[in-house]
Amino acid sequence: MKKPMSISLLKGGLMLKKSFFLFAAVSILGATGSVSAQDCDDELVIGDIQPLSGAYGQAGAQTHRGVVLAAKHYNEGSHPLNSTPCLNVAGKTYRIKTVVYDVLGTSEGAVAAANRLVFQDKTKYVVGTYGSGFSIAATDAVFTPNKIIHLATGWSPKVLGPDKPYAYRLGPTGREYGHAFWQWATEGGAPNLKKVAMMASNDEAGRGNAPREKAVMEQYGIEVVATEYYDGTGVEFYPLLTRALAAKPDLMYLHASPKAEGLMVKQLRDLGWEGPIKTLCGQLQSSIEIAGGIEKYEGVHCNFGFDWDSGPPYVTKEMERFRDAYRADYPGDEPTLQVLSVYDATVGLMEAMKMAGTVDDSVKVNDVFQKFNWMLSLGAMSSWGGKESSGRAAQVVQPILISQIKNGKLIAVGNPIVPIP
Amino acid sequence: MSILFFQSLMNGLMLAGLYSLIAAGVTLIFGVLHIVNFAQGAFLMLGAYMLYYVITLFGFDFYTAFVLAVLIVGGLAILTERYLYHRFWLHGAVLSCLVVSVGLTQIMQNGALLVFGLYEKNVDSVFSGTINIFGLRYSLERFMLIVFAYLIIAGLMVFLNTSKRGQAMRAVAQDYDAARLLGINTRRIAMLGMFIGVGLAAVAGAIIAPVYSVSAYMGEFLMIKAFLVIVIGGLGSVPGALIGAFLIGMFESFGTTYFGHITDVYLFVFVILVMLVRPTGLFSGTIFQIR
Repeated sequence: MKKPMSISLLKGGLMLKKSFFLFAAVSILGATGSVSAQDCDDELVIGDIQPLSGAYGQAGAQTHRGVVLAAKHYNEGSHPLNSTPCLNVAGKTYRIKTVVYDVLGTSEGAVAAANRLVFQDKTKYVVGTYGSGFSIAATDAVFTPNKIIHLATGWSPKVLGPDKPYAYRLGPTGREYGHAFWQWATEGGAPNLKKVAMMASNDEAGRGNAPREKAVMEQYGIEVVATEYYDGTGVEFYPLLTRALAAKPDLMYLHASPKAEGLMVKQLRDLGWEGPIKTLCGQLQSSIEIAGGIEKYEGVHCNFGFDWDSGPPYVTKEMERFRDAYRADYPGDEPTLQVLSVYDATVGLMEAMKMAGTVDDSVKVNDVFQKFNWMLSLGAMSSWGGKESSGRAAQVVQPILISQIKNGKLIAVGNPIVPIP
Repeated sequence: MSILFFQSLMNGLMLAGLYSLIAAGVTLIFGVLHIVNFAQGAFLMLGAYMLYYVITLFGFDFYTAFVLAVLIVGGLAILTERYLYHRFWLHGAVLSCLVVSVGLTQIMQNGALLVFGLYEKNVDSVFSGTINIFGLRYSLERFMLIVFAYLIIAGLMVFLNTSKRGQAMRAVAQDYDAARLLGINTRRIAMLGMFIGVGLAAVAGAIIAPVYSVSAYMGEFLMIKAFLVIVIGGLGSVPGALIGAFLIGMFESFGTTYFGHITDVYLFVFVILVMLVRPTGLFSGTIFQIR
């Protein structure tokens, strides 16, 4: 099958920022970003807005691949929940076309990208957005008023809310990762960890998430001895890390973009920190290279990074299928668990369309989706959480895989399902 | 002296050295060409990319790649001066030139994304490991960055004060027309000023490439700090840039270590206070007279 042009271009690094060329280029990606012709009755656009340039560019580009793969598998009829080509809704078949626009690293850019999706591409469904600030801006200004269903990854509490009936979070946040990790740690995984120094980005995601994670740690009797907010686009963390280490933590927790994470790990090791580090591992290979080698990552606990070859009970058959498809389309790159969450969320949304019997009426699809449960690749049925914390049960509850790098290899050490109150 | 204090001192020295290289380049170009070269950060980024590609494509060692990277970017700077900036600064169109340099930054950054790709490039460090300085464990590559930056700056000062071409540059900076009447080839001196000024940015880019990795926007955050340095030191003064870099580097390092991220706010308050006392900076016009 012909490879989606959008992805081949993304892989070629055709990312531009703040220029006319960006809009021209991405517009072309959108117009041609579809699988080869299938015998479908019509076309349905699933949009995405992502940071495709700047500090979060790598993460955004990779996150979008979850949407692209889900669309491809539905178009091919190769997904277990959709074994015939095209998306069949109420007897009419649709070829899924994916369109992605760069948010250009700003809220204004996110709103502009959202406007293009809604008013130019006429999409009613947007999946994947990486970055809380971008999601919040686009949801508040464009998606909610136009009844566009938006599935985002952002960790900020403001991504969801009772006033955002079409907004969903498609996977865990730091709070849930924290629950899973500290449950594992305090139950014998790493019982000696008592004090944590936390590095959080000085933006919506970091500021919104840090207090929630702190509360989780306190539930498990862990003391947060330092919380340092850093410039997410910066590269020099020595002074802040020096300050954090002066608080004498047992563990350094880094909530950081792949680049910042790699630099922080490197700088921590340079500063003599040999203790444990917990971080996202969002683009593990890239971060390891930035850090200066796998030895710098020894002992690091990962949220997103995962050994896809670790076998059962951590890797299900569906995860193997996703892994193989990803590796075939993006050779040399390993997916993160967040990409899998995006993939599964796209699948869930398409299944909700089938159940609703319409793709045109987003209100009807939304009514179905918010009560809908589907089988996740992780081997559990999805459910919705977050009513207590955000006023709406709109966050996908799923098993969380805990991984750690030991002897230069990433291994899975646990997979609990934690509640999302 | 506590380890924390000593650590902050070393961090501050590294930042100061780095800011010195960039700010000295900007101020040198301003002194000779009377242009505020906003594209300095983009040239820094090009220096880092050139280093990376010379090493990975041609297999050269770090030092050879370093020299080649600086020469390539310096050559680009001469072309930029000759075919772009020259048309503006000769007619005193400072604002036009400023806009051109901002535009050049955009073109170079977006061009880098297009040509070099989205993903970070990593240059292996030639100085891996740590050293022990009076009980403080410190990164060797950062220590060498400090040494290297101050050696380059010292070389620049010697060149400007003792060499014939350095003196010619100062003469052009003080009075372009008088220098020309005295037989100084002002056009060549302008190109030399641009070569050295941008070359300093390329040097900075090349020496931080193994420390921070290489990306299209790596020059942005440094340029903001470099302009703070220049504003404090006085636009057009190389010694001012060095003192300004020292003040900003130390303020940032000690401030962040002892007060956290809020230091960024204090830093701007500090700069505003300096401006209130010395509106043209601490050392305005010491080496290069502003026309």
